[in-house]
Amino acid sequence: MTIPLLIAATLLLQRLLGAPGGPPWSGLLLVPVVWVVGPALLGWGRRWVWICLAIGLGWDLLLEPVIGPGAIAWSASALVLLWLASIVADRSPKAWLAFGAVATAIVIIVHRLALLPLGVIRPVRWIDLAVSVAATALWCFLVGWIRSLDLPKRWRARRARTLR
Amino acid sequence: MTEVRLFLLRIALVWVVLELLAATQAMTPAGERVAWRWARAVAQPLALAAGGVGSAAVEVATAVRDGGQLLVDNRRLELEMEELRTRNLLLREDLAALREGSRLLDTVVGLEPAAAVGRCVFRDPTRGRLEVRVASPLTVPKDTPVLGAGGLVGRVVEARGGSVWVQLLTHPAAATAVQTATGSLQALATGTGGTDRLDIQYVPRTADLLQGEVFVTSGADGIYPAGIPVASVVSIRETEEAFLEVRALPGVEFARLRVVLLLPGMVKGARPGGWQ
Repeated sequence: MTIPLLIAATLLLQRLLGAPGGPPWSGLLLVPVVWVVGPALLGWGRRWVWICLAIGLGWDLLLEPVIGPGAIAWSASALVLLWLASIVADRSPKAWLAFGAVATAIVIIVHRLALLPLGVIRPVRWIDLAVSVAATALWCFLVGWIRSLDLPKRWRARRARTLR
Repeated sequence: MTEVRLFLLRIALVWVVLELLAATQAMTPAGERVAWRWARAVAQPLALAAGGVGSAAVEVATAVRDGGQLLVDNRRLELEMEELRTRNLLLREDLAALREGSRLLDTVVGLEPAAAVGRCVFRDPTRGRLEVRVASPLTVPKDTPVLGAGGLVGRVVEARGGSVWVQLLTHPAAATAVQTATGSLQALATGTGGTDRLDIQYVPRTADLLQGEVFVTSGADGIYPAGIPVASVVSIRETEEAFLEVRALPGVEFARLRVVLLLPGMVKGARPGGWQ
């Protein structure tokens, strides 16, 4: 139950990042990408592609005028990362960084491609793409780094020392 | 491997469904749903193809019908053309007959009021007879002399309405009183049954007669007027009998007769005004 709640929280956070009044670049950070990168690197299996499809539907519901292209983009990204994780052995924060960059690029490009047949042409500005890829990759790196710190373990060790 | 393929196939199908779902929501600049435009784009070639097939079928049906009509028209036109050709032939024949009749009338100067032109409708020279059509109000008595281009043709043996039967000079029973153009020799021209031969009988052995001499009617038979050319001598032969054997060629080509001149009002024995 925790994971769905966290997913919903990231989607809401994404909604907030795009709210009026925020900095213009804040919307370029794709917060839910960690739910694509993480399961791929942690080996959560093929079913996670379907969950990413649901995340994409949620993305469309909250952030897009049309439901469908987002789900395609997010599931496509999950599919590619699933394959990429099968050939890359690294699971360090650097892998999180690289996977985050790849996942972000795929999400943005596939989303635009899915919109093309609908007649909705949303041109990709390379600078926006680069900023989005960089910001999201750093965000994934941050999550990966924090995860590598294994904070619960440290917390348990600290409590053990305190109790002594 | 099969499981992976199935998974990918499912994903692809879901993507297609999602794209269609998006198309049902997206609107074109014209305010139309994209899905409708896609449906129309898919249906349009089919509709065009169906329309094309339909119009082609209509065209084929029309072509077949028109082709049939053309054949019928062609057949009708062929028949009309054949009829026109026949009429043309008949008209040419009529024209030739008219010319011949006109020439014939020119040969008997002064007889035009008493003469009637008849059209040959049936020729049977081997049996020595001829059927002639004349204007129906005209009454043609029996033994009326009949002239053709070149001379005497024969006499009327029967007349019913506009149809007149003529006995030719060549008929075996026909006999015509003839004389030489100078009137120095009287004789009798009899039919032989042949189409181009007359026998000139009762020509004395002492007669001064040459080949090519023309015999004309003498009027002595009480049927034909005098002075009409009958035949020209082709052979003269002496026999043991008292008279010469003289054969003559009729002046008229019976097989080519188109028009004849009947002289119903002719005074028997009188000489025509002048045979040209």
